Amino acid sequence: MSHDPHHLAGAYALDALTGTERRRFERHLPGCPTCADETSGLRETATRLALAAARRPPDALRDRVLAEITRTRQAPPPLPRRLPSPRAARGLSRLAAAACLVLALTGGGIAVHLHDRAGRAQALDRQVGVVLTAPDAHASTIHAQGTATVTVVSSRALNRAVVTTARLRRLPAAKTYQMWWLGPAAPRSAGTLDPRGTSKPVITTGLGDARTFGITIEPTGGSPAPTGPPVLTIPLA
Amino acid sequence: MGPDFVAFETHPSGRPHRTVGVETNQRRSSPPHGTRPADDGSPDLSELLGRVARGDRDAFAQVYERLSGPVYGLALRVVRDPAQAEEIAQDVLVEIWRKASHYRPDRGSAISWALTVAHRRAVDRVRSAQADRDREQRATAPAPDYDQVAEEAGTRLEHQQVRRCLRGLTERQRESITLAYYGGYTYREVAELLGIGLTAVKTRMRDGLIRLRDCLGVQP
Repeated sequence: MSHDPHHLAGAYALDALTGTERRRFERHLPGCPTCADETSGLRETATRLALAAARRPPDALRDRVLAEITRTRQAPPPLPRRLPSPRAARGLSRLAAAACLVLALTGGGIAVHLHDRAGRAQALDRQVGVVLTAPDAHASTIHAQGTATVTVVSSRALNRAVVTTARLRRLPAAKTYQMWWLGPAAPRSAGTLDPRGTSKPVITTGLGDARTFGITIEPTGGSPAPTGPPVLTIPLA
Repeated sequence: MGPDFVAFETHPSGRPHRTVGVETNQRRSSPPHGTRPADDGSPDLSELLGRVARGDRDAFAQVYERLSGPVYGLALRVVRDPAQAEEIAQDVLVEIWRKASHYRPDRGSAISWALTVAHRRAVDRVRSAQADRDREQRATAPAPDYDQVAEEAGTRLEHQQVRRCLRGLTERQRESITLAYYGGYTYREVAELLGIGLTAVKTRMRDGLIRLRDCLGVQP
């Protein structure tokens, strides 16, 4: 059975999961910024369904509730759980982020379990896997244009990054998305992306000492230097 | 604006300079419905919950004014029985008093947190009750006539907007969402009721909510 958590975001936001499924999904969220953001937006949407159902309660309810709270002790704030050592935590979150990205890349067609490294590697192009599992791999996901998602997993040691884009606006003919390495020197091209706005994972090299990753819209074939403002930028680790 | 952006700014463009930071600020400037401070300058729900967490009963009375309608109405919509809905609303509102310190603003809006507590409580009630045979009817029964129950204008508007956006979904998406949210069914039960596969029902819930989110202009 598929446990691909990405497809459960809607059911989760509607409280349509069983307790076990809900807990499993919630354990997945912290390591997957894409899912966490989407889930939060869908949860706020479900809240609108609730607000639309608002009805004035009987007046007696107010007196009962206000009386009951005088007799009800408040729960203390939850304390943060004891964290693993920073090194272990970094490793874990990197692995979780990589697993999350893998799930996104495979589009849910293949159920990939977080601990199933072998399965994960098989599901991926080998080069992509090398970047994702690099010891210094760092994943960032950002949202743009409303529903678009761009994820960059970069490794300074390998001098490369894996980029995926989803739901960027489809560009008109003769235009393309172009990636750039920014700062501290002049922008350097990191290659072009599918102008339809959703692309398979792309490997790009020449990360160098760039501080920021950016995407612009350029004439088909790309430009030697950006000709307009970035559609989005992502700070690099 | 860091030096990284200078190269872009030197290129003239008619479009406003869009960065992640700007987008985030725009989102923050329009908080979700129900959390923005009222025109009379009263504090927002998130701030009130902070005061409630420190035992402030006056703040709780204001929280009650904001939340009792949505909490009671949602419970009523799910359980369809006024006495049970009132009981659930009382439990949930006392729970909000008790657990106000558990609300985390970075995890979503205060109204969403509170109504998630309410929805889960109502759903637990119908799932544990042996009321399965009535649930489909409840979920698909027409919503109460809002013109008859002199509700506040805000609620009527919200209701109309949500109804309009629900009409923009495919029938399958709308059914999946209303059966789950207002009927309290799990997605497996919805799949069974609609005679479709589990993957299809998950997809319809997600795609339908995404479409609804965009129609309502909800910002995460």
